[in-house]
Amino acid sequence: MTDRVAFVHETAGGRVRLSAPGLRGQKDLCARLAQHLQSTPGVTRAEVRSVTGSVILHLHDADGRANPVALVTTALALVRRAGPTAETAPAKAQGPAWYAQDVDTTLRAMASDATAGLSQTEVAARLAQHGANVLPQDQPESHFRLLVKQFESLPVAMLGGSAAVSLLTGGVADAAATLSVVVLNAAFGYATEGQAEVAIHKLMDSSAQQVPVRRAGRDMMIPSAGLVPGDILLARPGVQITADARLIAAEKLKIDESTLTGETFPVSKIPDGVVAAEAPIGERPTMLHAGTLVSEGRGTAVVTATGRDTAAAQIALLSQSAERPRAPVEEELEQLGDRLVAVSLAACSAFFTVGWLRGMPFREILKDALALAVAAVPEGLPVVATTTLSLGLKRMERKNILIRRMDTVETLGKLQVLCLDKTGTLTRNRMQVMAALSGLEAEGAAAAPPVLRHLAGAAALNNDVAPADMAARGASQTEVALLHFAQDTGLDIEQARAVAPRLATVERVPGRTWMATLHGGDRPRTIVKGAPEAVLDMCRTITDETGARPLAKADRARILAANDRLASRQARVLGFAMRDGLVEGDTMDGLTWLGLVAFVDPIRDGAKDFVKRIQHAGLRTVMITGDQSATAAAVAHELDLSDGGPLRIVDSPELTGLDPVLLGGVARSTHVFSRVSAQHKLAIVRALQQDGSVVAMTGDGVNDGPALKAADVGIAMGASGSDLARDVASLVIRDDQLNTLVEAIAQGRGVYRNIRRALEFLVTTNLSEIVVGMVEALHGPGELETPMELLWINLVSDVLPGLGLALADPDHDVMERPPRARGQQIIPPEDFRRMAGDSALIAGASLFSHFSGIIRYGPGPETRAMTFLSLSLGQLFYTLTCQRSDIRKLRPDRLFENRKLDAAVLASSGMAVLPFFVPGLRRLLGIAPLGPASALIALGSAVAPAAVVLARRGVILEFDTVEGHPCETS
Amino acid sequence: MRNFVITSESVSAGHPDKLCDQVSDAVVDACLASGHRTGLIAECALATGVVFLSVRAGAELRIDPAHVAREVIAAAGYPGDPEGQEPTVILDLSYPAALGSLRADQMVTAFGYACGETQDYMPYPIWAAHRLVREIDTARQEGRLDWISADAQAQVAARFADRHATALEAVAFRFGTTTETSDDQAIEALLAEVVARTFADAPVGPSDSTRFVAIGDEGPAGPLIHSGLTGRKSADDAYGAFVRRAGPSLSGKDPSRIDRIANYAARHAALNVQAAGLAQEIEVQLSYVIGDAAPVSVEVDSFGSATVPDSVISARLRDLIDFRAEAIAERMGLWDLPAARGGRFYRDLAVYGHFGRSDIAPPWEALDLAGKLA
Repeated sequence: MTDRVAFVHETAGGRVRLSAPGLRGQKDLCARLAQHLQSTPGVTRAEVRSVTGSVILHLHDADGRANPVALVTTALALVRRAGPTAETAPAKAQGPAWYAQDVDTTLRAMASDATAGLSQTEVAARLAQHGANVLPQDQPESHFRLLVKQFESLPVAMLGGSAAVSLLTGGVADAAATLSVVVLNAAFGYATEGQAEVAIHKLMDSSAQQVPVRRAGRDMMIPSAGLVPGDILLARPGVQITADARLIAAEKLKIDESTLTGETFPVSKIPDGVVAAEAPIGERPTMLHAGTLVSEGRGTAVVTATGRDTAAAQIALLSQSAERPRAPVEEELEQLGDRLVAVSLAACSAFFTVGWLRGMPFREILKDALALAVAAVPEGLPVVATTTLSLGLKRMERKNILIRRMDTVETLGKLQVLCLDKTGTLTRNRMQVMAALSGLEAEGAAAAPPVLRHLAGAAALNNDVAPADMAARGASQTEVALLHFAQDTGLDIEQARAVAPRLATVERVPGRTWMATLHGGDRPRTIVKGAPEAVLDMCRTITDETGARPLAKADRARILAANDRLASRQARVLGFAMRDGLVEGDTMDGLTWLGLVAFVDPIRDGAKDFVKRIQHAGLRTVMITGDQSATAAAVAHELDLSDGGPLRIVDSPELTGLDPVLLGGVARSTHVFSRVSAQHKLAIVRALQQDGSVVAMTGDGVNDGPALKAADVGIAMGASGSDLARDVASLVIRDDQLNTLVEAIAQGRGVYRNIRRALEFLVTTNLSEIVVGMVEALHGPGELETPMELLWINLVSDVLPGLGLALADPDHDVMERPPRARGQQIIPPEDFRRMAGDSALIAGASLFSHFSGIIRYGPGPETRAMTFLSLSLGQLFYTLTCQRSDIRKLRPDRLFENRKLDAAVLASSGMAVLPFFVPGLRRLLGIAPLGPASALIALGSAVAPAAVVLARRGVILEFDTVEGHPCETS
Repeated sequence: MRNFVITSESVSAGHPDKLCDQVSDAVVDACLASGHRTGLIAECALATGVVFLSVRAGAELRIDPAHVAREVIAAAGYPGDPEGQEPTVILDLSYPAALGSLRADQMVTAFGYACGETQDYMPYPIWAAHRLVREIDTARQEGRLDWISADAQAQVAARFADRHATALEAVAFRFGTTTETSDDQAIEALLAEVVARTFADAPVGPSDSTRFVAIGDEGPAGPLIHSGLTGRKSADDAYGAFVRRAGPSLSGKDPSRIDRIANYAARHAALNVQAAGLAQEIEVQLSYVIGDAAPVSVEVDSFGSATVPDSVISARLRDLIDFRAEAIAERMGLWDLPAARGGRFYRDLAVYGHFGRSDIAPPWEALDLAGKLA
């Protein structure tokens, strides 16, 4: 049957609404249709509502997209034909162990074909049957979940509890106020966090990742979500495996399975043979598993399971939870919040006991205990953290820094080692011809035009790049550089190629370090280009100004010496030779030597400055390069990687052969790893990590994938990096600028510091409230502030200033300090001591105000008003001194530089004095208006804490000066 | 009179310590050949699969030290496995500006010796040991001893009467094996292929009472079982245990280093004194004190074998030869020898001893001063 699908309307953003009455009430069908549409190319999001029978599609840009009605009609037909999946899913999950079956059996069972792959119609049918290849975590969190989450935290639960108690004890107004606070808080949290979650999810989303497959006889890239069982997956270095697949063929295939097995080094995969069905996931060489990464080699495999049916998802190795991974700092904050709640509960129960022993009425005790509890709960904590993180991410995105993993922001702050890929990071990755020495010429000598022309001609003819493709990104750098060189000598490349058309090519292969091109035309000839030693070995004659003559032994020595000199200057050198006639085969002989061409990949402007800044920030820089050690040493010396000291280079093409412990020890003091192939970058990263370092790694090639993934921060340089490198990186520098990388580290450090400062402020002020509350409660009955008062203080004095602190720009000296120590707590003990002192200070000042009030008015609304004013404003003024954790770094002249904080303090101050001008509010809080003298005392007490902190800073600095410069005083 | 037994040893080119000496000197060769003239110290240590190479130079290098190291190791009989597994080279490079002036801040006492005991004017035990090892290396390369590994050692004990070698007491071989070989089989082959050739024209050969011992280690030995370090075979490099010597390594230093070249100058002096017929054997001692370019003392000891008083010999040496560091390097052409000899000179000295090397004919083995001394 064919469903009727009708177009309803479309909005500007590509949102299309369709109606399909046949869907009404068919919940399961709707879900499957949604899943199917979700994975259809061109559709960014699909919603299918069984209640209304409507389909809402978010489509890509308007041009060239399918008719949405036809799209949904076909999809619906396919989904209907495939039938419900609910019953088949569990059976398939327990399905046969394909690694224990041979290739043919698997292919037959999957009804697939290794050479052609699935047809497009078959793919569509299977997609409908099995659903998109996505994990639950890749689907955005629902709005409802997000709202519910706002009420789940312990502080909010306590507030709710207190409202309930208020209600029971007759304080309806208190209960209503508390509840409205809870609701407001939740609404605020929902709004900020919802926005933050959307932003974060957008950044972290990996379902759009492209994977190479073979379908309908063609190799293509498709979004990973579109993989279906039976698809022929093409394994290439750097490809992330996103479904389970049985290997069909493999060539030196190695897979990084560390996410599944923790196995440090890539494991070999072979299609032949079968594995015992009970083999653990790490011991199935015939199988590729979702969540792993191809580190080297190639292979083809047939997909056997997708999405939540994959082995990794089944055994919950890839997180099944619908929540995004939490940043460690969020976890830390949560724990801290819980600890504070515990402290306040302890305070309450202590107070309860004292009150009961004193024989206070139960209602009074309960009310006061409640006030204490409210005072202690740091309401602003979770909001401040999440908002700071998300705004930090957004700000970084604006600066072309894309964070793709939640923990990266903080990890940036504790980075110790930055591994830099020389090519593409420190150099421009644009080869240039540095020198061309024709014949026997020595460097620096004037070129002999006729011989140079021969060399330029050879460079233009023995070249795989068409002049039109010179600007193309994919073209070989050296070939392009050679064409530029030929052009610069005045050669017409098009014409030269037309005169001597290429007839055949002897390709450069492993073991043959040269390539030869055979050219026809008037004068058939063979041109050879390659490693100078190899090419020179095949030469018998040489051309100089006088023409060709036999190549003497001394000539060879001179050429090789010139080669060595060039090679030692960071250059890659190619030798050129030619002969008349066409020669094909593995060896050439009787060639005439034409000359040497040397290339350099110039160091980027600002690379040296970049290294200096990174080192200044306390990070160690490690350069990784495929160059030989002499070249690497020259570059490292130029960049001053060793910061003036001796340069340590580890030169090894086979790092994995080295004992990991030894490598770890060696890596500790190494500045350069030379002659490293991409797949050994992983070993370097692991070695550095094993040595206890927090490691970042830059990369741009597909082979860099495993290392980028293993690093604490994997950095892909955006503009020039491959898509695959970007997919596994946790940080993408989109504008490809080294300065942006410095900025990323600064921002990372800044965000963490800001959260920490906000936290210190929140904890300090809450502690002061607890102290005030305890002293008042213990001093005498009726002295304690009302719960509403304290709630008001917490809401007006906590959240906004906390955010103001958290949104500050990174300190100007953020890159002049060493990284945060690994494992350092968010509040180090020494800071905690200072915070305790400061909270005692605030509490002391407020209590001074309180006892002045007691003397003047006795316990009552006036006294409470004085304490309220001192406490709320005191905390606000104190905020300004919280801008640096180290008080010595606080600059009084820059106290008001953070405009966001200024605005927050100003607004909060207004809110703090508002009750004095609004009678209704005043009644709710239980305070009375104040006379000028009392107001003056209260205000003085409010200013005192900040003033004392600033004064103490002056004293500390004075001592520091005396200690630091004893000579100046004499 | 004086009768004693003296032992000396020599190790093959594949012995880890000697590998390190060769790597260090190959770096010196390569640097000098590339025109490097600003001071150079290369030190090497190696273990299984890892080479540590520390190079201090007065200017940036124009060579690839890692490549040099691998090349030496491969040439010494460790070409790496067929899969292309090459040793990792851990390279420490530093460019201290003050390196050029090192010659002024060294205190050195160097000894040189020569005697008429052997064709090469060397003491008999070290001469015999080097010859044995050289024969082992040759036989291995030619395939006559296909079971012996690149790592071999020969020790010789010789009996002296009145400071003349009179008998070969014992010869001991220690080596790794590439195929299983019993010690008896080994000694038989070594006697035939090595001992016979070594002592064919020797002043003292084996007798019936000479003991021969072969100790084969299972496996190829080399860096697999023991590590190496530059300068640890300085007795083998010089005169064995026969005469005094200074401790510092000879290998890995360029000609700006007096602690290397003073030994060459002292040998040159001693050799020519002996050749001039002034003494049967002679030890020349040069002492350099910081701040002075020329040695503060030129002392000789002829062990009572001289035809003129020792003081006369030392006076003649002082008059005839300029022992200042620059002068020694200049006279012998020490800076230019590597370039002049196709890129390798010092490296060849790092096996089979620095002295008595008629095969490479270094300048200090020349008898060019004998006529003037007589």
